[in-house]
Amino acid sequence: MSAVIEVAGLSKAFGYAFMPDHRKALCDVSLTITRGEAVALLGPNGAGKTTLHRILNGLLKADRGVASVLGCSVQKLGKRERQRIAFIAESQELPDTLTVSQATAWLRPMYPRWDAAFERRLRALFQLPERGVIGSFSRGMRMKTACLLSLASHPEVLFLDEPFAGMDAVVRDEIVEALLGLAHDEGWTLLLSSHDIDDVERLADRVALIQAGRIVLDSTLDDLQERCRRLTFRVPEGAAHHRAALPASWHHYEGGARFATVVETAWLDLDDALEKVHALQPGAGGMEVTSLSLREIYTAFVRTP
Amino acid sequence: MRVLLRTLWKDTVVLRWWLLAWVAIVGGFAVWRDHTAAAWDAAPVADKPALAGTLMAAVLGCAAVLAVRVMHTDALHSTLAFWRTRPVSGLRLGVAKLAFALLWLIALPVGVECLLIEHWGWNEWFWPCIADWTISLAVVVVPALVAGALIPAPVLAVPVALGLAWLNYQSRPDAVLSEWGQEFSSNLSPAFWTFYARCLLGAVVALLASAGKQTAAVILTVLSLFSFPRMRSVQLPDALDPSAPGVWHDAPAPVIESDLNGQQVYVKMPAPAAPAWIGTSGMPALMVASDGATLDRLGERVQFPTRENRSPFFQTERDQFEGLFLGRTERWGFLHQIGAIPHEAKATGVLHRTLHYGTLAEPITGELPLRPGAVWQRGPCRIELVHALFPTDPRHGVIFQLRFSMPHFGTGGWQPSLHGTGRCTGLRYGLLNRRLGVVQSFQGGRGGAPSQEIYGLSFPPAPSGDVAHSQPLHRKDWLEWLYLPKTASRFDVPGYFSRDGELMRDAVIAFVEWRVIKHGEVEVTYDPWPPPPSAQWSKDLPPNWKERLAALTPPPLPDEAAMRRYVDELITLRGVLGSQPDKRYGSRSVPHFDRFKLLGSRWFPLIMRRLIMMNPYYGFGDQQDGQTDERSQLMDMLAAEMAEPEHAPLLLDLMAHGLPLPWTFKTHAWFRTVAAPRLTQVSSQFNLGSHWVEEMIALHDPALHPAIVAWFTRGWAADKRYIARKLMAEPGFPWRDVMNILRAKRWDMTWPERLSLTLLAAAGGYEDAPAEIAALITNWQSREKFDAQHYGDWLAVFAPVCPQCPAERAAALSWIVENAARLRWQDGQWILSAN
Repeated sequence: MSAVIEVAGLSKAFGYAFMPDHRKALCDVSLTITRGEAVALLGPNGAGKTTLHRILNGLLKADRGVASVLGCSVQKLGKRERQRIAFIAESQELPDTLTVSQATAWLRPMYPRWDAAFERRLRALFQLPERGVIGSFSRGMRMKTACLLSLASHPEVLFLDEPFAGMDAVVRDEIVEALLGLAHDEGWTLLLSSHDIDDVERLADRVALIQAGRIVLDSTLDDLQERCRRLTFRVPEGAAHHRAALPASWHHYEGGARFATVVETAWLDLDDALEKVHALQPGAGGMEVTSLSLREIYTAFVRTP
Repeated sequence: MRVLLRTLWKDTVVLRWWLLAWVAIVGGFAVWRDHTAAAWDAAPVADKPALAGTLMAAVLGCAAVLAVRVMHTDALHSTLAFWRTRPVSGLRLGVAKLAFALLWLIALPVGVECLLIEHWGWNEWFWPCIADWTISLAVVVVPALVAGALIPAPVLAVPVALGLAWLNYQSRPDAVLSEWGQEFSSNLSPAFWTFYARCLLGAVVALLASAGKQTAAVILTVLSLFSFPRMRSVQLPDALDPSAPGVWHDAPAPVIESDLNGQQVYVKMPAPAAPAWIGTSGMPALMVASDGATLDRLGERVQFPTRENRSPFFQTERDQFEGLFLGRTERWGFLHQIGAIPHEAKATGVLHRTLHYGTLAEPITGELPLRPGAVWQRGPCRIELVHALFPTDPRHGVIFQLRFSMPHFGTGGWQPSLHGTGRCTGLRYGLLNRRLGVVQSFQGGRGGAPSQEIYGLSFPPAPSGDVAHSQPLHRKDWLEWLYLPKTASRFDVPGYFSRDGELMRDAVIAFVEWRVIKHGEVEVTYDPWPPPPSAQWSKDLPPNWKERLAALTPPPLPDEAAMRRYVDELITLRGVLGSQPDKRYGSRSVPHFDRFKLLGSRWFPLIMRRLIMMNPYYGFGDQQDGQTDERSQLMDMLAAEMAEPEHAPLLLDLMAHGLPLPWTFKTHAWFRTVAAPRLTQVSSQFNLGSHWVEEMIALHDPALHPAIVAWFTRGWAADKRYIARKLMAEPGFPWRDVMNILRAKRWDMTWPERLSLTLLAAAGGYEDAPAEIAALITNWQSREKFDAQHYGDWLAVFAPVCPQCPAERAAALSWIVENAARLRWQDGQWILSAN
């Protein structure tokens, strides 16, 4: 499969290095997304997700590293590339003084693949009003409008940066359902960043976890869920919890007087797990193994210092 | 192209409310001008300059705001902007914005003007007008586009846009306008290129900023503002263009020395061999430099150096010398300054200074032959010579009347264009007293206040027989109300402009005000203006004023030079300290004239002479509002002088040289015993106030009669008819001589004044008086209601000589009108004849 989005050694910092507000947003980030792949960028606030989106859309310039979309350097994205890319972001402005019809009329000549029938279908799907300027729309309606203005051109690459932030569940579900349906039809390449793990689970088939500007995990959703388990075991009375000696694959260790739990991120089989447990706590027993949701996995990674 | 058009359409939709306001303002302005302009060369804005200025400011202001807003509709600099993620480049977006500005902000108003012109009647003149309007709009719109492209905040961008537009105006785009005309392509000046280069550069800057090249855009903006020359200095020989055929064959000097007497400029240059001509400069400003001034008066001389902290160059006839202020006011509309008194009549009070003339900006671009009907046109400026006189006495130069038209969309006439581009300054050169000189300058803005000044416009001598000369300047193709069907001028008579009550023998300048009354009739009033140079004391205390004050003591062994220095210092310190705004220092420190310290009256004439020289109005005149303390002191000194009769002739000589004595002194015994005979001797030298004449009449001395009659020959006649009435009863007085003089001047009078004078003439037995009264009243009644009640006093003079006339006023006047043709003067009475 050919790479649609390629990022290698990307770094970006804001502010001058000698100033107290200097902040590294991205550190040596590398990522490759192939055609048709849907990748979710997960990470806490300020991890660098939006910066990566903006760099990939040519809105920000990276300090170091290379990034390309559709085989073109992001700094040289031209008309042809932009016609194949769509960027939907919570923070991006919309033509607030225009109605939806006026906005689509303005954009239509810019895109050779603009599909008027598809536009009508999306408008019906999103139930966007005929009258009223976009600036007067609610948050959910604005995001639906952004989707319409981006998707009607049949983009090959779709960037979604926190598209569901602050939305009520009903609207979010509507948009996600629509995107799911369209993704099936369009077969686009998707890079999604969101805090909503449920939506990520539904939309993405690969997850990249970004923390403090670094990608700490990059795995398909199935693989991730396959190799992550929660281990719960009984510890001997009075035994100490040697946190410093925890295996590297263990995250989010919680030790109590009688029991301890931990998220194993390199699950092989029960024997391997027992071996690690006994190495840490001789005499431990009563081990219970449970599967994890993506939310639990994400939480385990984020909470591990 | 489709994207560009769609973006243009999108911006139009986004700014639709602003555009609606814009169209309303532009259309409203056009409709208003169409409504108020009777013809293309009328001056519709003359009556409502504030409204016109407001509308013009609204047009340009709205254009600036719209230009800024259109650049902001797509947040060129924001990384959050919607267009940033779309397949449209900043450059293409910028082109769309420029197209928007071109279409809506320039083409639309120009199109509206074209429609307006078409409605008025198309004239080929209007092509340059359209170009002018385009330039005027571009001067605002382009900087606004640049500001909008460079500055994302509208609150900041709009003021910056206006600032850039102002800076752009400073490049004198009005000079560009003069280049439009017949020789458009062959006569392009650097100013032209400068301006258009800026317009194009502005567009490039806006595009660069749109494409994200802000740094380059800023650098180009700064370069465009400061790299081009704003003003070019052109030497006068260049300006006069001696090579021009038939214009001027004698090379004039680059620096012209001139004496400024009052406000009349006599340029010392050789007489021209070629015929007279008038040239109109492109858009120059007169540049005058001076090294200082010398004031000669009463045999005294004072030097006035230029102030050190002031530039020796100035662009108007306003200058500041140390201790001397020469001012010239700029006035609106029909106010003109005319220097009208022949040079020979100016015997005293001569101010000399050397003026270095040069012109700024453009050279003379055209010439106007001195023949009626000659037209000079340059772009939107059109000058027509409507009247020219060539008096037999070359001393009086050439008289001409120019009609200056700038038909900018109906705002022409004498009013410069409303929407114009900064100051509109022009000079007209011509012969003045056989010298070449700037005879008229007009300046004002095209968008601002127009003003006109005439430098030394001379008038012909009065015809023999002491008859007022009338200049018929009304042309049938003029709008009736525009001007001046009649002026009565007698400029050859010294002191003619003096106001009664002031001893201004040598009023060198008069203010002439033409006020339209109705139906093309103009009221002409004259006021002496400006007053001769006078001392204007500095508001800053001299650093050593205390030391100077302490050292101010009369010289122990006074000679005239030492005493003059002492008196000068005394006058100066009195002036400076007395002019302190809060009197904090002045009230306690102003030194006093002490007659006794000054060794009696010996030095009084010296003090007087120095004071008069410094300020001709200074002294005892009742018109002096300020300096009460000063006056009272001098009054005391004068009273002491009057106690010594041998000094009276000396005081009268001072009067003859310009010292206005207070009329209250006429009752002093001194006047009757000593001064009156002397007054008779010197009265012909200056224009007495009416109160002095009344005093002369009260002396009942036949020897004074010639002086009294001579008094009537000077100045306005209207106010003198009251004294003429008094003189009727004076035994042995040559009353008819006075009436002949006054009747010869009656054309200067308003109709009520003429009626009263004619009633007086009728009382004196003038045969044609009743018919004239009838004609006056008949004409009057044809225009408005005639009120006979105002003429009771004058009828009272007439009634004793007409026993058949009814006693009641209205009936009496009606009776005169009815019977004028039948009234005959017999045996000192008016008798109603049978036929």
